[in-house]
Amino acid sequence: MVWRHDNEMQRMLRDSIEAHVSANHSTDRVRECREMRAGFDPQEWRAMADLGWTGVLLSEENGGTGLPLSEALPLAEVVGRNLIPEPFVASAIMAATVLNAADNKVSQVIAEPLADGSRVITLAFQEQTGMKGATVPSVTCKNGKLVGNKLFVPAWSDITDLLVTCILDGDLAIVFIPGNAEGLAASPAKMSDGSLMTTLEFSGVAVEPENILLQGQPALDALNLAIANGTLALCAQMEGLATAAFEITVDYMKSRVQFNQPISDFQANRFTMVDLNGEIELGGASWRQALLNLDENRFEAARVSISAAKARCSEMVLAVTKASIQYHGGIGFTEEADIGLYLKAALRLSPWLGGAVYHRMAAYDMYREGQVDAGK
Amino acid sequence: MLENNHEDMSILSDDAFRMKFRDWLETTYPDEWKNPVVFRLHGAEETRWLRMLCDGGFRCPSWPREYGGMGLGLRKQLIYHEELERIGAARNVDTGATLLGATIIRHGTDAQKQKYLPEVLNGDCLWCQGFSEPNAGSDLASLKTTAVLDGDEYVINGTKIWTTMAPFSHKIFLLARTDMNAPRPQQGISMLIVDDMKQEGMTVSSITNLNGEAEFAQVFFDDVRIPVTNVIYEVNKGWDVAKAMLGDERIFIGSPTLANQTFAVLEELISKMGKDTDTIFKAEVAKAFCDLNDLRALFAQVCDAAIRGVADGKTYSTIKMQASETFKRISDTLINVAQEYGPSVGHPDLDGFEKDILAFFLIARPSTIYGGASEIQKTIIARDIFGPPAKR
Repeated sequence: MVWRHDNEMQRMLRDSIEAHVSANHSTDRVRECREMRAGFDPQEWRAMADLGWTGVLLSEENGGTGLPLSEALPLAEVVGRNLIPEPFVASAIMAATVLNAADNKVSQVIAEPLADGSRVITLAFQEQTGMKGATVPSVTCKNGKLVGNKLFVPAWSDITDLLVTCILDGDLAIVFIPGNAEGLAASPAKMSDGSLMTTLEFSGVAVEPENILLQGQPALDALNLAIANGTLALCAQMEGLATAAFEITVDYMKSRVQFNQPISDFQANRFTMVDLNGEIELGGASWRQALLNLDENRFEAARVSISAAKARCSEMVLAVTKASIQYHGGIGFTEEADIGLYLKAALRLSPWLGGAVYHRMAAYDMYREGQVDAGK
Repeated sequence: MLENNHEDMSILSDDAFRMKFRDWLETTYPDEWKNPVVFRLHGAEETRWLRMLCDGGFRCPSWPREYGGMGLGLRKQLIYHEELERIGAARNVDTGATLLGATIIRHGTDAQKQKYLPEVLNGDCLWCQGFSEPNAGSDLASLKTTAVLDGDEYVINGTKIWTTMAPFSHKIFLLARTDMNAPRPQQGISMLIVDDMKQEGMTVSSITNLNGEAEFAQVFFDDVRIPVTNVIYEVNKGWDVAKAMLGDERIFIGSPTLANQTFAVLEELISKMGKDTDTIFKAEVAKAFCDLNDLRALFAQVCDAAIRGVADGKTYSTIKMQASETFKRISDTLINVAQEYGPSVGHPDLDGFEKDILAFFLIARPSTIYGGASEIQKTIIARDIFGPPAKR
């Protein structure tokens, strides 16, 4: 992808993160994190904060650098490329987007520990598989008490606090709930990459009035934007992951000799890898186009193109990592080989925020609704 | 004398240029030609269209103005093509402008420029390209047509095949072997011009394609004599000229236009069939929609790269392959969704639906064959990814 260019800010950020990553990160660390309770290392989260990554999107009032999403996405690519297990997309992109929308005194207090890396903030909004109904929760906030369940909440840990979507006075609202709140029960499930997906049960958790961050249309807008930003960042992360797996596999194929020749010389293998390269190119092009649409505030067009991008990237990252296992042969099926880490991370990322089958249909449905609205 | 005397549109803003061309097309473009993908202009029709463009000042967007072209940068050339797509223009190959003319401008002598460019501009002369041979398709360098020097003439013998629009063309440029003892097959090839498709020794035998059109042909050369001045660039350097032939314009073969227009027909079809809410068919159409969306995104970004001058051979190969494969896949979806109606000759017997979907399907077949088959593009891309395979 020599023909794609970073702007100066993107290049600076990319250089900074790559320098840090090559000095502090390895697949050994990925394996260590898998054994940790939360699936990531709070110490490293703080180190990332010191470099400004957790506050990259947070507004300056919220203690961040307030960069636009386009400048933050190279970080997501590097996170994907290096299998960095810290919850960059869930917290530094999605939760930060909501906090920016709230932008009041309370959100500043909540955002500060995210910016300095002492806490992780995560957005709990999902109540079923897929993204359908993501903005119409059944969790309620009545008389200052939160009741109901959230599924598939990412980034749960000892240092995690929550932004929870609920219905308050008939409106969508987003409320802040500390992770250690009374009446909150968490049931984390371990995923293939070592991370957690957590079911949260709220049985009358107290909601302080000042912790109602957003309500009504502003809450809906913030949630939609958080999902949009998160989905694009996830696409960038999956492109980074797929690109790394592809390169590792190319190197392996060039060194693995069978029938007196490197297996990279066999045309069948070469053509399959070319096809996968094409999928990576399409995925990369698709999310960049969606990002342009979102930047230009063409939210309707952005919704369609974001779903198309997520469909392509979700499918592509699995196709690339599955083929990577195949071309590594027997060694690819061992726990010892690093390539398996990429497949297991891809399995976790691909369905998150909606998988390929869901988003393909969603893109087409939204496109058709748009046509009907336009009177076509 | 070749200079373009029309308004210099290269200095207009992009939007101003777009609106100017759009207005002109809307008042000028013949309704009976608005039949994208299926309809292609032939012979006298193509001459008429090229003359209209020439009179309107919209002929040869990429040629420099000193040679009578519009002198447009790549961005405005893209706008030019977008507007043709918007009006639903028929396809026309225009080999004279895009291949022959561009090559003469780059490599031709002054005499060749004076002689050939004006008649391409005004549409009087239609050209065809003689590259492929019966035993030299993807392996073009193995071509066997020869041109032997005899005094101040070359004598050409051999045959060319799949020569698009040969039955309608006035002139042909071809690759022929001028040095039979060159060490590598790519060496010893020259690019030559035959000034009259009807001259002595020339035989054009048209071939009917799978869609029933006789628009390509086999061309036979039997002691065809041409002056030595009809060599383009240098003798034995024809391979290099051919490789450089398209330059930036290679990008247009990767345009999503055909896929786009086929998708529009797909939407119309499912609606006419009352299948637009049927989950099974909708999944197929959704897949086509996303394929098209992503192809358009990739094309836009490759165009940006080309405008910045950073698109490489691998990128051009990727977009060519993706565009043609997507066109083909969406035409497959068209036939699949149509079910029993799919193989209807003419158009399906559906009230108010007059699109020849069988023609869309058939016309899509060769898109992954011509202009470098998908397998050739993959070989090029693979070489970039892995390096060349070891010689055995």
